[in-house]
Amino acid sequence: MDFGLSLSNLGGMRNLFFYLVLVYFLGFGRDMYAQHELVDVLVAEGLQNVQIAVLDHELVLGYENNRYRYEAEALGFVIDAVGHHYDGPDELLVSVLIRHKGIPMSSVTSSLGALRALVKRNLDYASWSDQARFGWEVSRLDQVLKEAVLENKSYRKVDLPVGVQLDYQLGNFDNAVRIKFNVQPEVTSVLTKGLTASAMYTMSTWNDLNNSNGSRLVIARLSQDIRLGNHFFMNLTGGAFTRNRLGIVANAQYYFTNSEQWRLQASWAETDYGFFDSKLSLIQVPENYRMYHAGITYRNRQFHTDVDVRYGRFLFGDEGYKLNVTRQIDEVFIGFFINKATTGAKNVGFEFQVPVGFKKHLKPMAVRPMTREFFYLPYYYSGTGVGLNFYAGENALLNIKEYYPSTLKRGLEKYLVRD
Amino acid sequence: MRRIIVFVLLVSTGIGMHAQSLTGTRGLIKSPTARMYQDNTLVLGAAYVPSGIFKRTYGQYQGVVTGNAGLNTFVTVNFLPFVEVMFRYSHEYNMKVQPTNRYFPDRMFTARVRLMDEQGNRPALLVGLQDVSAAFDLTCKGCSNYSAAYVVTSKEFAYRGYRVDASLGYSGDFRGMEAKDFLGFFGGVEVFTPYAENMSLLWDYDSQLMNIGINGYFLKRFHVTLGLLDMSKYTWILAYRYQI
Repeated sequence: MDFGLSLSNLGGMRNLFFYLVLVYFLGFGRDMYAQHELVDVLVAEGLQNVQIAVLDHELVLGYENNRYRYEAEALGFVIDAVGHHYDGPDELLVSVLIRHKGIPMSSVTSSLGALRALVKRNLDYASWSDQARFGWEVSRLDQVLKEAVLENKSYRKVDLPVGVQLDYQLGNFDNAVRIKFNVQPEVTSVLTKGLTASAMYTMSTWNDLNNSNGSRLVIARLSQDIRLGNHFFMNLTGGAFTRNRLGIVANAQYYFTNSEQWRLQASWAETDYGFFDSKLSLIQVPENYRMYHAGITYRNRQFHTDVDVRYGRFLFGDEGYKLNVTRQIDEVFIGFFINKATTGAKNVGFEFQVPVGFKKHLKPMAVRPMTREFFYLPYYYSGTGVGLNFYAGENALLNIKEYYPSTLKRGLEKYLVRD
Repeated sequence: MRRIIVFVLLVSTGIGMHAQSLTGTRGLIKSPTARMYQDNTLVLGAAYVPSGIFKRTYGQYQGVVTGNAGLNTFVTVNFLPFVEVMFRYSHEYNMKVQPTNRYFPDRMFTARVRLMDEQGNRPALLVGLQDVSAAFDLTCKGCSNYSAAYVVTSKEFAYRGYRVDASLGYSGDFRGMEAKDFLGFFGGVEVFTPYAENMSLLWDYDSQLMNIGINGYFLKRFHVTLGLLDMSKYTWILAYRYQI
């Protein structure tokens, strides 16, 4: 067969060029087209920091979800998109790296064939998840994606979540149920990898709890999330926080197995009394106040239940331990706690966190209004105020349970297996 | 005609769901059983305790039948597949929260752990700790009005489309906490007929009183129980359940 590969004439050169182009499009070009199609689908959905890299036997895909309220639902969309829009051999490994504020959090790896069979309903979820690997070790994937183009960056966009907060007091004989209902708009932006600037305002709408009716800034801060290697997470936050604390706080978590099962954690805060008043003037009383704690958490991955023990010094200078048992049911958290100070004072009760607002936010844009994603309420059965802390705003460490491999594995089923 | 259709719709949904007791946990009219809701179930409910049965929960006449009726409002959650936790307020009718009488509704926790599931000839076995937080120094000992620590077993028998769920339990003191709500043996049966599978007939002896009732489970969400405490004083239980 004559392919016209003669280099002795110009026509031969033309033919050579033509065949090279043809081979490129039939081979690599097909892969490139498939990659572009997949990236386009993810970006069109509003997923951010999308990256793709094709190795010899592996497709590595990174993304960040700021569209769906629940991380497992976003992962369900991505898996569905890969199954439907990526054209490659069945034996190709697909590794998905999930990011949060640009920080790699968790990964899922499956063969493309199994993934395709799952989304086309030829394989049940249990069989698929048995062969898939929901992983905690993400450094390799992060390294692979280092040079890949970042599509639809999440940085320097502004979100405006609005939430509600309820303060209450039960048991007064003159007014059995005292309530303070606050609306809390927030402005938040991820400036670069892991670095968040945010401010939260609180507005009292109903208050028979106390005399504090004014609206004011309760949080104004800069927060940096860091992940070092596969096992160590850290957050450094500085600014003004709830309960009139002004200063810096550092939190660290170390997962000493290759999963979320065992976690060591520590926190250190150096704060003064301070806050922004209603005219945004900073009021500060320099009285260095140190809070710290260290502890260990065991997660039962079958029941998604955490047993958390920590010891330290808390908001009112009380020293003691805290024991929490918390069940996570997808986006819902139900927990019981006992805080006991060295003085013998106790704080016992339960708490819950439920998802609120829309399941899917608007697509990320320069400025995006949205609803806050959760509502949290503690109930103190017998309370003395020991073991309390201030709130310094959300960060990767607080959100980490949504990214736990066991949470994703459980949550994904609901979004991939629909009737 | 519309009423008939609504009624048929109501009774045609939900099959053979065990009842919800007025204490706030799974049970018969009042007696606990070894039954539990499905894992991740949240229940919000209220139960009426008639006048002549409800006992005052505070002050000089604590533990005395004052003639006022009561209302139990509760939230129950299946925290784990084998652990049920309930939190309850017990209100006294005709009483206002005010400084002069220093009345405030009673609060209590109950935790129940199923030790053994029903399997073959083996019955289900459960232990329950009701209103015993004072035993762990979490509240004052005198504050407990409904304390009881119990063990209960349940076994279901079927015959020609009928199902009888029988329960037997024993309650006693716990770590210095005197048993008040259940004293000694209690038990009863829940009977499902083939005619209305989402409804059941209830009979129990709660260690002090004999009670009967009928339970219905509607729209896969609502438990409605109507009954007679001490075979003479009417009661009702209404509970909404939600699968988280």
